This record gives sequence, C-alpha cells and structure tokens, in this order.
Amino acid sequence: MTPSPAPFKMNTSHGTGTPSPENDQRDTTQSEADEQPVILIADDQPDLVDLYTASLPDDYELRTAENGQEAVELFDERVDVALLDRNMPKMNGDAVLEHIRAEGYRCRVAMLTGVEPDFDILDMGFDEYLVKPISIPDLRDVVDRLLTLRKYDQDIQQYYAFLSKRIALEDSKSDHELESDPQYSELRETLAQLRDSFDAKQPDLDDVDPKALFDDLQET
Amino acid sequence: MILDTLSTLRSDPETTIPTERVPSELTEVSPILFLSPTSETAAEEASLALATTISVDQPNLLAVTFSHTPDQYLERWPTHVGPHELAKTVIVTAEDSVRSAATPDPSPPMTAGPLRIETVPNASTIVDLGTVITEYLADWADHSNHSIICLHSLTELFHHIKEPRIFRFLHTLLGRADRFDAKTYVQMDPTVHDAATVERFADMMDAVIEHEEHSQWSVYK
Repeated sequence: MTPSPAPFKMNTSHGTGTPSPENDQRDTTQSEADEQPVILIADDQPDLVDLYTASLPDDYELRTAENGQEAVELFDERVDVALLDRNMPKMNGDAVLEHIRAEGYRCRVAMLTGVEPDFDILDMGFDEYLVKPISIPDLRDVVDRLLTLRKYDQDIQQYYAFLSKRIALEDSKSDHELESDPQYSELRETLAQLRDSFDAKQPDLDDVDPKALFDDLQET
Repeated sequence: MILDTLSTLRSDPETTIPTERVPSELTEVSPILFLSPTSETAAEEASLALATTISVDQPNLLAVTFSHTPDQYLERWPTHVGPHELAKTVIVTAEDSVRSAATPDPSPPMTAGPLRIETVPNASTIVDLGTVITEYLADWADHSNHSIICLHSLTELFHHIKEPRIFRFLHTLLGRADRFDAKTYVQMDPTVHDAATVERFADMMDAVIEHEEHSQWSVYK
C-alpha cells in the first residue's frame, strides 16, 4: 500500500453519514437525549456477549448478534455505538464496519478483538480498537466515551479515531516496524494537521470575550 | 503500575533527571504534563520550582486546585523554590472546597507574593473555570507580567466531566495560554487512568514527565 491519502479515507466516509458539526450539536438535543442509548454488540462468543451485556448500565438498549450477518440485520439509524468482534462467522467485523460506513450511519464503532492490529487498520473506519481481554471498566469507559463523542465536532471524532489507531499500532509494533512504514509517518502527520486545524479555529485576538471561548463546552 | 500505564508512550523515556534538575532542564518548555499521583506533592513542587526559576522577573502564578483546599495547597508549598519570588499568586478552587476549609483566610508563603483566591461553583463548571483563567491571562499580559498556569489536577475533572469535554477544554485553554505567552503545567494521576487516556492528553503536550521513585522524573518527549 502506498502512503497516499487512501489510508485516511475513513474521514470522508464519516462525512457521508455524519452531519456537519453544527448539525451534530443540534441532533443531540432534547428528543434524542430523551431516548435510551442503543448499543449493538456483535461477537461469536456467547459468554463474552453475556459478560458485556451484564456489564453495561441498565439504561442502555442493547442489541446482540452472534455473527456479522445478524449484526447487519439488527442495524438501523438508532444504533449509537457498535462493539464489533473482527473474526465472526458468516460476515466478519471488518465487513460489518464497511457496511455501517457505506450506509452512512452516524454511530461510533469500537473493534473489540483478539486480532493484534496491523497496518491494515489504517484503512478502517472505526473509532476505537481494543485488544481482548478487555476489562469491564475499560468496556464501560469506551462506550461512555463514544456516546459522548457523538455530540462533538467531526474533527474531534477524527482526532480520537486516528489517535486510537496510533496507540493500537504503537502497542503492537516495534519502533523499527513503525519507523519503516510510511503509513505510520502519514498517520502522525495527519494527527499533527488535525491539531493545527484546532488551533486555527481559535481566535487570534487578545480581547475576545473569554466566556465565549468556552461557551460551547456547556453541557447539552 | 505507573510504568505499565505508560506502556503506549513511545519507547523508553528519553532521559531521567533528578528532581532538583527539573527547573534547569525544562524551564523553557510548555505545556508540560506531569504524571504523578494526586496524593504526592511532587508535581506541585516541580511546577513551583519551574515557575520560580523561569528567567523573567517575577511571573504571576495561577494555580487551579480541586484536589486540595487552598489551605492544603499552601501547606504543600515547598520551603525552597527557585531564585525568583512570584509577583502574585491566584488559587482557583471550587466553592465546596472553600466551604470545607478549616481556615477561611490562608496565609501565603513569602515566595507567593500577594494571594487571591477565586472560586468556581464546582469542578464541573469548566466554562467558569476557563473564563476565570483567561481573564487573568489577559489582565496580566496587559501589565507585562508573564503567567504560569498550574492545573492540579486534570484527574479531578474526570470525576465530574466526560473526557471529550475535558479534551476540548484543555485544548482551548492551551490555545489561550499560547496566545498570552503563558506557561502551562498540567498534572494527571497515572494510577487512575488507562494508558490510552494518558496518551490522548500527552499528545497535546511539549513534554511529558513522570515522577519515579528516588526523586527522579522520567522525561518522555
């Protein structure tokens, strides 16, 4: 694979299904806030599905699937977060993820998998990558974080997704492997560009109203 | 435990430096993430050592402390700091911390300069917190004083606020600090967070230093 923009097309595919940042904020106002968060869990190990469902708060609506095909059938626009195993019968987690992004669903996705990450994850449109075994606190944290991220601008979502890839690769690859792969360099460059884009949005003025700077952090 | 937490930070620390050399090694660096348990005083001591060593005349210090009351923060103030006294010190804390304080009017150490205490309703009101800090930065910049911001600690915010909001808050704050040429020292308790969380915040910093045993700091970038 060449170090082209291709590894990062996940960003633009999010754009297909994800409203603009302004819409993102508006979409998570009263009517949506009143609904239970919907979490889809897909894993071919029933004991793990049981563990995950027992560990998540009661106020989530949980949908469970034992293979990728079931996961696709259970999917609709109400799903907020999907937790996908990569190796599943009938349809693997990578294919489910591709389906989710191709259909333009706005949900955030975590891969919960026994597969050590390779550089192919740079092509994938997930938000988080966790290697099993996954602790219950980590599971709760990732679901909570992804639910919160739904409310934020696309650039923050992208930044978290890329950072998750960087962390996953740095966990599984040697320094030599990382340094010799141009896609890893490109990933770091993309992260730097995203940080710069955050900076560019900040007003370059001394006399800007301090409260206005932080106002968009009000709890919605 | 702490080293395990840091396993995803790239490779080994670049260097290890004893506590007393922190000021000379890192005086020009900002922002810095201090990884040190909230129960220990290492991050506060190192922050103050840096603040009082920076080669500008009498900087102002704005310390945010939700982990301790202003009294407790001042009690932890080290006897020996750097060569410069501070022009002014402002402690920003939560109203419930002040109400629980035994002494309503804490005495500042000599090196702190005149002391002022500001309160925000609680640690979850980050709009108020960001506003207070930014107002001081702007005011001090008008009077040609350099500013130091110490945030003790980011971990406390996690008890009240979800991570992406903290991320946005800190990013905005660092942007303002950069605009006003202020130095920013942020503490996180690495025994509380998973490695990925630490890494997401470390990514915003120019240096990450972790307190080790034997009065040493490991410098990670």
